[in-house]
Amino acid sequence: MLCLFLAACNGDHLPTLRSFESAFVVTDELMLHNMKVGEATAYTVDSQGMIYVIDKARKHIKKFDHKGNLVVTFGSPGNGPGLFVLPWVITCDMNDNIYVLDLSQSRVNIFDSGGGFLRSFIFSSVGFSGIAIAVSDSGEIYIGGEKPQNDRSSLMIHKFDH
Amino acid sequence: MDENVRRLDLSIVGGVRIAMGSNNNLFAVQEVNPMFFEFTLSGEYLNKLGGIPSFYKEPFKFPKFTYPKDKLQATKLLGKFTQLTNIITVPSSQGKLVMLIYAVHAPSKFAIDVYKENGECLIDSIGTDQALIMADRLGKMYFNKHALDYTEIGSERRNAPLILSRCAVLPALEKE
Repeated sequence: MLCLFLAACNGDHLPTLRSFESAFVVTDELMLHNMKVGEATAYTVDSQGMIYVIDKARKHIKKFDHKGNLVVTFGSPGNGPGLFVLPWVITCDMNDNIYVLDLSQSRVNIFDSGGGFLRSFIFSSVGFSGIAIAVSDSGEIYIGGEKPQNDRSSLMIHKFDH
Repeated sequence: MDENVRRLDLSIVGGVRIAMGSNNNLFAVQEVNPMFFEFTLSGEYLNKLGGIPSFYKEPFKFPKFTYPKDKLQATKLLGKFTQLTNIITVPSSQGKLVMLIYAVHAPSKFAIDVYKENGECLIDSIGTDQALIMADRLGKMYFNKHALDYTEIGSERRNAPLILSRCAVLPALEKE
């Protein structure tokens, strides 16, 4: 393991951090068409390099190609399957299906890579508040979050078989 | 869908983030815990991995939950503790690399530690103002070049164009 070289450097004990270039190399940059920093809440990328971004203000998903051009917008504001109140996190599976967790509805909406709505489910039946999502290669859906219990919160992961 | 609820052996209030490993495993982190946890896909706890970074500052309770309006003062206050904001797994030639992203606020917004899936640290304390947001299946990582921190959410910086930096892990590091 590489050695540490952290040190307190002044009265506020600011850590000394390694440079970005000591671990990573930038290959290119892309500007997402007409998208502002403050509009995006979460991102995912599929096997074709297509980028999906939650636009929290407009409550929909924007799909961009690998050059940053807008390909399609899908989902819309509202309560129910395929709709968004507070889209929070997004991920994709091996087949490039897109999973969007809606914090307010406690719902996961699932779309194909073209933005076609496939199905949705609600995960809040046990008072669980989900804030993170991942999908395994075999299609199981995992949701991380918390459930208030006796003035404490227990972190949980829910598994939903596909 | 059949629901199979698995409870993590964690009980501290705070957000949780999850990511898939390469070998039918699941990794999870908490915002207020510097380490990461490994589970089987059926929810069985396997390991507590990683370590306490040298830059890590324990959480503490704010005297009042308001940030100073002055960005410098707010950054100074937030810099008094470390928040583990995300875990991202990145495909590599040897399984996946596990990236832990901490909000440190100063001297840069974030610090990144890079681990192997077995918990071995490859490199730590990488400072950056860019936010690592995702990785594709080829191992390319995406950073939000002008990520906002808590002190900038209401600022004009939120109207800046969204630019992503595509990055790769240095080959020498991946071979460690």
